[in-house]
Amino acid sequence: MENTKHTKYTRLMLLILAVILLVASIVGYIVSQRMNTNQRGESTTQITITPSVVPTLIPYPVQGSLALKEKTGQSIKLGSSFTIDIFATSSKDTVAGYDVVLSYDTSAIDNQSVQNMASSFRIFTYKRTNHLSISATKNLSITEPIQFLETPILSLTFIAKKKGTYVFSLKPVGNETSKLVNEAAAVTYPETKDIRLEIN
Amino acid sequence: MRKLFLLIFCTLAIGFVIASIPKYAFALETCGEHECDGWTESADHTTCYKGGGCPSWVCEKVTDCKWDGKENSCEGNNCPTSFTGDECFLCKGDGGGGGGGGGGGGATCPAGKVTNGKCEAGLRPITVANCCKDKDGGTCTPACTAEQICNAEKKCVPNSECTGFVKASVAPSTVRPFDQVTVKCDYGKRLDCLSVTGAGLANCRYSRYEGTDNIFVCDAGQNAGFYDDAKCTTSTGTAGKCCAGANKAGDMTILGTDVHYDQDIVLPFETVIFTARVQTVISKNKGVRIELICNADTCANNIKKNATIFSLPFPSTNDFVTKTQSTQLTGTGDDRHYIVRISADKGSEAYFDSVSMKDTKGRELIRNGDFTSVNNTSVTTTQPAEWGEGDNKVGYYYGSLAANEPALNPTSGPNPTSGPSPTGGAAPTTVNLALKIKLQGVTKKPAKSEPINMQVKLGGGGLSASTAYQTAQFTVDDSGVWSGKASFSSISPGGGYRIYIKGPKHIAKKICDEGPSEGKGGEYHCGDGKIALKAGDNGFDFSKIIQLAGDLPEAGGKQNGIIDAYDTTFVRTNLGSTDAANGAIGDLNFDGVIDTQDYSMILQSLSIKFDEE
Repeated sequence: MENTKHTKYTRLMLLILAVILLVASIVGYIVSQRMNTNQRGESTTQITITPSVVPTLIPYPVQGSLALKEKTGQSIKLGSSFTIDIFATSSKDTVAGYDVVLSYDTSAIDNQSVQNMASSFRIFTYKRTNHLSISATKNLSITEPIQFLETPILSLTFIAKKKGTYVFSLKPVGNETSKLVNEAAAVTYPETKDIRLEIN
Repeated sequence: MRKLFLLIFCTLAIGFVIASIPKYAFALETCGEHECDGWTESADHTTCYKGGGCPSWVCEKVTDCKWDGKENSCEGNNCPTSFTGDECFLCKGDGGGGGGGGGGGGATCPAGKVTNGKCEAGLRPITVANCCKDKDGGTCTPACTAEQICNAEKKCVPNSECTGFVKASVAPSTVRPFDQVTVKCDYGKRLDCLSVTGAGLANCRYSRYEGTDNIFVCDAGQNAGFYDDAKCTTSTGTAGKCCAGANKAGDMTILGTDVHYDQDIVLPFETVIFTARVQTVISKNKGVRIELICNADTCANNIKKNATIFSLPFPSTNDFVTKTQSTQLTGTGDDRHYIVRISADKGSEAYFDSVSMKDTKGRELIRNGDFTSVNNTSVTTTQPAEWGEGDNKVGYYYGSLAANEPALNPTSGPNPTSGPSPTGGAAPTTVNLALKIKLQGVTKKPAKSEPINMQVKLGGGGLSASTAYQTAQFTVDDSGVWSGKASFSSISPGGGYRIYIKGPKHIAKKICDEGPSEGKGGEYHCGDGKIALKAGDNGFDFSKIIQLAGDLPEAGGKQNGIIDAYDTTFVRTNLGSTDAANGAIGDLNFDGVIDTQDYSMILQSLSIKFDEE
């Protein structure tokens, strides 16, 4: 009788011990997880990514936009031609001239033509090694002020020569920048966005 | 159901165990020497009390505090104020030790009265100020320092045998990498156990003994930064004169040779992926780099303060390039401080578009901030004061960073009139050019006929690269021909040279022939140089070709080498203007008015558009 009682008591104590160890392990694990979380919270900083802005030698005002749009919106067949239109917004400012610097992989894509969509302007096109440079000046005969509001200004036709994914960018190349110039000859730099095209 | 039962059971079990802990965990401590100051110490030296006394068992139990035969609660180890105003508390001992075995803030038991590491019952430990060893031979705190010894009374006292530190200095306090630095360590006497350590100093050698100074000469390290850990370090030396120790020598700053922008950031201990998008226009000397610098005493992989964790070089390119670097950052505690350094060495210029650092989950760790453009500054450009380190900003729109030549030290910089080293041929000498040129739209002496500054440079021939542009003043004659002189040193006489000329409102013209001509204005172009230069004077008549106008000066009077929409619009906008300031920019034919002739000229020049190179 005494032995049985003693055995039961021993078992109970062992069970309690086991439970304590289990609970201690669980509590320890939870605590360590919380500490880890806190440490991570301290060491990282929640950051908002600021969009990349076009650099220049002199701080400049960013105003308006130049947007690239591929007409079909579909992938392009190797050897076929495709068109990219450029739309301009001048944010209520006048425009008396503009420059477009369009970079792309000239080994994979060949520019066929540049069509002036804004007839009030005269354009000058230059094919450079890795980009197209287009400069536009408002015709002398046009005297009324012109503003751009999602205005199509250029339509560019290309031929796809190589398969792959290619980026078209209006970002600066050397000293050449995409920009708008108003009637007072003040320069503003529009926001731009790259587009990516796939040639199959 | 069974799980619920188990949960309840476990909870009860834990409660039982916790409730039992005090009985077995609390051991009575003997009161410290001054622990009962203002109170009365109990006979068993375990409690301090006021009033009629408070048996220790009352405080030992967290409940059932009995006082004057009445029940009271007892929180922790302190009995609250009793009904009669009596109080007590349980002694904690001197710093929790109380025994002769160690610790205890210098407290020790009387000699021979230590049992199981504690003072025998009823004995109070004795506090020995500045104890270095207890009477049973074990150590206790404070331990003696390197310049102390333990005396017969077991106290740490200054070692009279050690040579005492007096003062030290570092000079100069601001240096360039690898510059010579003098460190003076004054210990009142000449020592043979002395060295200089820290601050990235290298190759330190004992120079001499002057007065009471031990003088060392060292080489500054290569890593730019502020250093506060230069030390005079002594080791255990000859005849007991020296005791191991170190004394601060002074602060020093190592300047970079480049223009750089520093941003302090804090990074986590994990793998970070660093990405930068940069276009380097000119790369000279160490070129353009983005680096991660350690800004803590020790950083990842045991890298010390101011040392470079990694460096991403950006050689000159025609377009922006993106580079990525993955780095595992390790460390503990406060070793998370770094500097992102954006550098352009002298003569280099670059555009910085974006810098990014992400953790393995793709979270951005740094943020672009704003440092705009930095030009030719010889000092570190640091973050705006209002940016905290934790902001982790690095630059908003990076703009450009340019470190223009001549170098930071003008006395040792290149001769501004000399070009790159000749590659061979005759011995380099000075050549003088006397040039005649014609400007677009100027067919006779114009109304505005003041001398103008033209830029002239040489290329080809014996030069490995073109010289820098030199400014030469040109005057105009009645036929509209402009004449001017330029001089170049270190030029090897010989053939194959090209001459570049750029006017104040013009695009650069490359001329390869000694007597060039053209049919239609502006159509002359050339490839390889054919001009022969001799030592001394050289005269060339380039008046049968014209310098095309159109690259107008912009902000700061600078030209950008391109005829662009700004240039055409400026002329168009100011048509009819006779304003002198406008004319200085847009009057291309110098007739005193900006008119349609100027506009026609600039449109004609658009056939070329770019500086010829």
